[in-house]
Amino acid sequence: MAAENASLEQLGQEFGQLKGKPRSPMGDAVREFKRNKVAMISVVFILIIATLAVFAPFFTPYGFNVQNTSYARAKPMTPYVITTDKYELCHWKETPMDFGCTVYILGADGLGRDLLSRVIYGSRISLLVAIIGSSVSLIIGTIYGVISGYFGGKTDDIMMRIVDFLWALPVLVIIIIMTVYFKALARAGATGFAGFLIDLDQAMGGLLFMFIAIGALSWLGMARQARGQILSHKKKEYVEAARSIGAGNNRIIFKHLLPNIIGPLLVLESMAIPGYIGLEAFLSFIGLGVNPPTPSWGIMISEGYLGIKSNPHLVLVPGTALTLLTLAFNYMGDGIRDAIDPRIHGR
Amino acid sequence: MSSNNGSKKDVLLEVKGLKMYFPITKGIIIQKKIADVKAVDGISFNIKHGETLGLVGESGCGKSTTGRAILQLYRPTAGSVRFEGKELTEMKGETLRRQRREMQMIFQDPYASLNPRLTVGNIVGEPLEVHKLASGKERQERVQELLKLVGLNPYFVNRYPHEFSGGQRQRIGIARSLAVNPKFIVADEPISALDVSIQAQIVNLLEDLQANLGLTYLFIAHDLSMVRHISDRIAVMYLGKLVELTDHITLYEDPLHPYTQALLSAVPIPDPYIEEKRQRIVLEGDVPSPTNPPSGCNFRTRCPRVMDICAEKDPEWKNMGTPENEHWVACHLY
Ligand SMILES: Nc1ncnc2c1ncn2[C@@H]1O[C@H](COP(=O)(O)OP(=O)(O)O)[C@@H](O)[C@H]1O
Ligand SMILES: [Mg+2]
Repeated sequence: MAAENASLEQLGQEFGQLKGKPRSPMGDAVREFKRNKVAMISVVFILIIATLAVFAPFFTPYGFNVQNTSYARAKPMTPYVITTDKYELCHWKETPMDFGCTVYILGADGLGRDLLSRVIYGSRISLLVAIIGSSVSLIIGTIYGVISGYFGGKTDDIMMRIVDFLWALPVLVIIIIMTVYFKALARAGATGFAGFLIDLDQAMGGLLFMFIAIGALSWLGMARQARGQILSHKKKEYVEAARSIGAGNNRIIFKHLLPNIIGPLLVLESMAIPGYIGLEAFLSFIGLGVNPPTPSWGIMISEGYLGIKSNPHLVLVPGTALTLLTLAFNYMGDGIRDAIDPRIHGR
Repeated sequence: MSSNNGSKKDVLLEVKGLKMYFPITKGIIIQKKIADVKAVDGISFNIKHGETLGLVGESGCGKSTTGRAILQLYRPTAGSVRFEGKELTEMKGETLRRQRREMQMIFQDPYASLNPRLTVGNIVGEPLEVHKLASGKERQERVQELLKLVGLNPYFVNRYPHEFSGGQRQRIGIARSLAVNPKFIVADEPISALDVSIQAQIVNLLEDLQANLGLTYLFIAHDLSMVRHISDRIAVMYLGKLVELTDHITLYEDPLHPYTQALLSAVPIPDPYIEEKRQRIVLEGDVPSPTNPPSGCNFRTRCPRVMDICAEKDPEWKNMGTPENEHWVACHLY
């Protein structure tokens, strides 16, 4: 063994050495990303929000739907009837709002519901939309684009004309009309498939139509991008080399093409997430999204904006949350792009 | 069209009337063919066991396409490619896949031809995996053996391509092509992307490998100086057609075709006295488009010795040498 090692070392001298540890392109990208402070802070921020969202019951002082109308529109940090002896008794889990030890850290809304609790529960919707939107678009968009680009020819032509057609449709308008129609049907009482859809939507707190809307909009761009990436990679010599050694289509797609195109697709996807979050907020704001009383940031803004002059915090709290989360996803996307880019453009 | 004679026994690869056209289409979904890129337009030659055939011509004349059409990476439009008597153009699917073990390719660009996401071990070991020749530890050992064979440190198996220089990468590509013990290798300008100082090393490596493993090469290059040393015979190509084919000594001493003469006049001679006196033949104009090649002899638009007949008739591909020392040329001068 020792002798063998010695001879290998000798070989090493003969053949030249490389310094340091092997550096995989993926490892390099991760290292690059970690060096980017803004991106790392954004990731930490998103992780904190995600933790708050998942464990919302533990982090919220009150349920999102607990009302105390005597404290309606309470200003942030307004302590209500705090007395020392009662404060001792206060424990945020067991204390209902009328114990007297109440502090609305971020104030309360028009029905006297704690804004902090609602904004934390509201993050669930935003993150859910981010996850659904990005998975639908990554999975459907990538599969669609890869098939179209890889097989080319007529297949490609037909598949891309479909994308062009959907792209040209005012999808958002159609979704809005469809949602309005279904909500009207729901009020009138419907049966059959429409009834089933409406029941499902109700069960999901009004999220079904939102997911359909976001799903329908999100994959088109991804499909185009994936196809473009495949077109630019499938002509490269490493793909031809794989074919020349006898590799089949599956192997070429999964082992060679996908690992090389997934980086730019992830960049595009992370850039698109703020759009999904914004779309949810918009749909909820105009009353076509999440059903009350489920809190979503869009709904909170729409509930608060009429009294914005006297009670700006009703809009500022969800508005700030929306802005910060959107910014964090944007900076994360920038970070991923910067980390991956040098590897895309040769080297 | 006649083909090379040569005793059938020691012929490894026989190419006859090979054509590779790329259609140019117009319209979406319902496509109409409006023209063809005639990248390879009817060429015939043999390659014998253990020899190196050099294929030379300006870039864009169809050399790479010829190599790829032989290996069935492009399916030829017409013609036949026989490998040990088996017709490759008729092979499909699993048969063709298995046939690929016998014939491999070394690529021009050592940067583009290695997947940047795979380790050297996975790149060199992939042919073994694809053809289920070795797995696990056995594969690892075979990969290390291959790396040693091409002059690379076997410790490099866990490294990624971007950590290597151009010459080292080309060695990795050579190791990959050797993994399945092929008989025949198409080397498509394997040294043109490398530094001059590295080129000789790679040529020497290819020669050593040929001597030790009994390989047969189709060695593609864009100028005559590169193929001089490694080739036994040399074929000169212009705009999709062969213009001259003979052994490497005859070609340099007695080139017949005006195009070969022009190419040779551009090769520097290492003797300063001769170098100063020699005449350069500078070709006028550009290579015509392969979509719409000139009538008759397609070199006539640039030929210094053009005649009337050149526009009218395709020159015949004929042997001007002896049956033992063949010297094929396609030119109306002869
Ligand atoms: N896949 C392809 N589709 C269309 N045209 C091609 C394709 N490959 C090569 N060509 C054309 O065929 C001609 C010969 O190309 P190539 O064989 O690469 O030349 P060389 O290797 O001699 O430089 C060129 O005009 C090129 O544009
Ligand atoms: Mg070429």
